[in-house]
Amino acid sequence: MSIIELMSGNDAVVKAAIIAGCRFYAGYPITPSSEIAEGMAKELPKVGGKFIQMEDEIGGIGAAIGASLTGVKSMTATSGPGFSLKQEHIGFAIMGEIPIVIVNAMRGGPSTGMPTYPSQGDVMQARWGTHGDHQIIAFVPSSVQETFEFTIKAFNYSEMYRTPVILLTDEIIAHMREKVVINEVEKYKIIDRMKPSEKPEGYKPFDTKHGLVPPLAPYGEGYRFHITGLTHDQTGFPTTNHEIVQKLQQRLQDKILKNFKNFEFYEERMVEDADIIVVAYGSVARSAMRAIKDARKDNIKVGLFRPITLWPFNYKRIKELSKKSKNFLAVEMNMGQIVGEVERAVKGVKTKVEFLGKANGELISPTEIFSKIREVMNV
Amino acid sequence: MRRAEIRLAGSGGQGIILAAKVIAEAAGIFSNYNVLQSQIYGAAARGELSKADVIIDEGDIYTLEISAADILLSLSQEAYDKYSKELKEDGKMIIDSFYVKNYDQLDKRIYPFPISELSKQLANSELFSNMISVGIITQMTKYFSEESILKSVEKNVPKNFVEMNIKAVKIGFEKVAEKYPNIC
Repeated sequence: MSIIELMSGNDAVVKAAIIAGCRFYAGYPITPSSEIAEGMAKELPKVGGKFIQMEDEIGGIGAAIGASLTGVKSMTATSGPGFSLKQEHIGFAIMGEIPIVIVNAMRGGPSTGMPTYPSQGDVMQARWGTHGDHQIIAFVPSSVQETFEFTIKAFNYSEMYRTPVILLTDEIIAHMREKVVINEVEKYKIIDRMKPSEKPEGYKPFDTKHGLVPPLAPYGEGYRFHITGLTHDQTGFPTTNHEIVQKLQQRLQDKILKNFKNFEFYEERMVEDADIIVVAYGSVARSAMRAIKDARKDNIKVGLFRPITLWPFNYKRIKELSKKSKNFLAVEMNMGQIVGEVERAVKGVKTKVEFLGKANGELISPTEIFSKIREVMNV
Repeated sequence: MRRAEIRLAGSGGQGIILAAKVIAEAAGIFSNYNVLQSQIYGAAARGELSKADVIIDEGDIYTLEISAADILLSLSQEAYDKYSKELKEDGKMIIDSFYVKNYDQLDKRIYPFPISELSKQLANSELFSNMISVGIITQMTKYFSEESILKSVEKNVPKNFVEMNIKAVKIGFEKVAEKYPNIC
């Protein structure tokens, strides 16, 4: 039987991570993500897992990457400044194709900013924080229930595509308590990474004969192989052979983009006849839902597009919607980040893209969104 | 029921956050409403102003914050001073008359109870002010049943203290019945 619990977003991450099979956590506590570290420290030993508080955030993600290479599902969680510190290792995990889950409970920035207040200022950092060309998967839940579900999904897609997956919450989602329906553990689809079928002697960690995602052997079971941040060939040893490097870059991109339909999550409300579509995500999307309901009562034809998969960005769906609706309104708790992606998506279409944002630590209220809708629609 | 917004405020250490959690579970887990519970994080150390909010609704909750409360609990003068203006026209404010001395005597929305005194009578300590308040709120609002709140208390307080906390909640019930029989 399923159970219902009242829990915070951070509690939900912990609960879901354990169900998803996470058995290693390393990190450095930072507000507003600290309860994740606290919860993992409490829960992991009960299921035979390990928790380590490292010397800093870099150590945290480094240890998680190392643990993952031994075949153990691993996670780290942080916020703002800690997320900055983790960027280099996120790149390493992308290049080494190492599954890990990184949670970033967004708070006001830049720098130490406002530890106890929310923001959505890290959405572009999640996309481009680490250097070099790369693809990343990032989910941005709008409720505690969704935080629970997408933590499990984050582990699943991370394992499936041998890649880091980022879960972006914010101070509001992280700390507020809501009801969460939790099913029997067996009801959840849990995906584990593909292990090699060949013997250790013939194993290559980046063997392309398996398609876009090569099987990953766990260290410690007799498979000896090399992982590096340098560009490498199928054996994992460094190469600068331009042809091989280009193929590697292409495959790293393709394994995410060509599989996008498998993890393309979004919610739409009343977009069919909309003259204006609000694009909002995370906690702000909750305010947007109230605003569009209120606006509909005043006969303003407004809809909502809420990306849950924030990266890769769903340019295709926005483009399709732009053929129906004359206006978009991007609302986010920052000074304008995802609005740029919306503009990119509607390029060549006569659709206007408007923006409402603030970065002062206050949640954007339904009233503010409603007023902006009125202003844009001139009613 | 329509959306109800409850704000509990007092000093850090008075058990405001536990009270909010008990109310939220009474409504959300033991009465099947949607609930959202949040609180101020950060500087709220022992003795400083502490606040926790509970939103209860039959439908989905989209507005995540309270702008004006239906029910406001003020366990300290500072809490009263800061939040009394954010009470709805038809809202109710419950104050601990021992700590909140300075309040608008003519405001019909204010219901004073000697909460911390009652706690001292019960256990020679103010530790149970929060649960007495929970009992008062339950009885004044009828958002959820007495049974729901008692189950929630049982679930949320340490085992050794369940009996005392339940006694405290029941004192809350009784005081409302005594003082404002027309509400019950």
